[in-house]
Amino acid sequence: MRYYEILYIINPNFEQGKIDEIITEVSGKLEKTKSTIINHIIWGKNRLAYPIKNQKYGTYILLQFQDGNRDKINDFYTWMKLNTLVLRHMTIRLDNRPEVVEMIEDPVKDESILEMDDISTESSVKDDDIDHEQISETPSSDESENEENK
Amino acid sequence: MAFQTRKKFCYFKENGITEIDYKDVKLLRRFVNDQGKIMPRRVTGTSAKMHRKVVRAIKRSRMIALMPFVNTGTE
Repeated sequence: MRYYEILYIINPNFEQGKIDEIITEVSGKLEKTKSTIINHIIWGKNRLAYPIKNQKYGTYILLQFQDGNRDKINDFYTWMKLNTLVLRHMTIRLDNRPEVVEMIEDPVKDESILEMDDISTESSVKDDDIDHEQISETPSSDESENEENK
Repeated sequence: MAFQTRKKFCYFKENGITEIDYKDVKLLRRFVNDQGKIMPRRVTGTSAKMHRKVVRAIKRSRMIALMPFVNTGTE
């Protein structure tokens, strides 16, 4: 038994009802391959790092499942590829069985997108500062240890 | 010592992280420069084993548009 994870992007302008419709459609297609769906959740709306099909934003949906009939799974991937509602999808094989997630408490919202874009430089600077502090501490302790050894 | 040498350390070893998720963009951003290029091991100090995992995770998140292939800064 193998576990897989598909992360796919759909149009961000879709309403909740439309998103649910797509999710049930994808689930239905996947269940035809006798796969067992573990998680199928909205991961969040996020700004894309680069535009895909002229879209700057996208709604990410996470799908984790246990494989069923591997001969039929290719039909599912072909369908995903031809499906115009899905902007992009990627499948990853998981090492372990994923935990069941009921709901993501705070899906990525517009605020956090702004945070990522605008404050990313600041946060990275902060991180660097922390790093330097840690670095400056570590050599001194090492030196003292070395001296003791000598 | 006249010059205080900057000691490098593996971020993952320090924090006890063994697996890297490609969806964890906040973590992966530490290992790319402003242009979005993956930084070399000699700069980040990551262990060889974990660097391979970092590279794979960054490349995966690029494919699904979580991270940029190139960041030109003009938008």
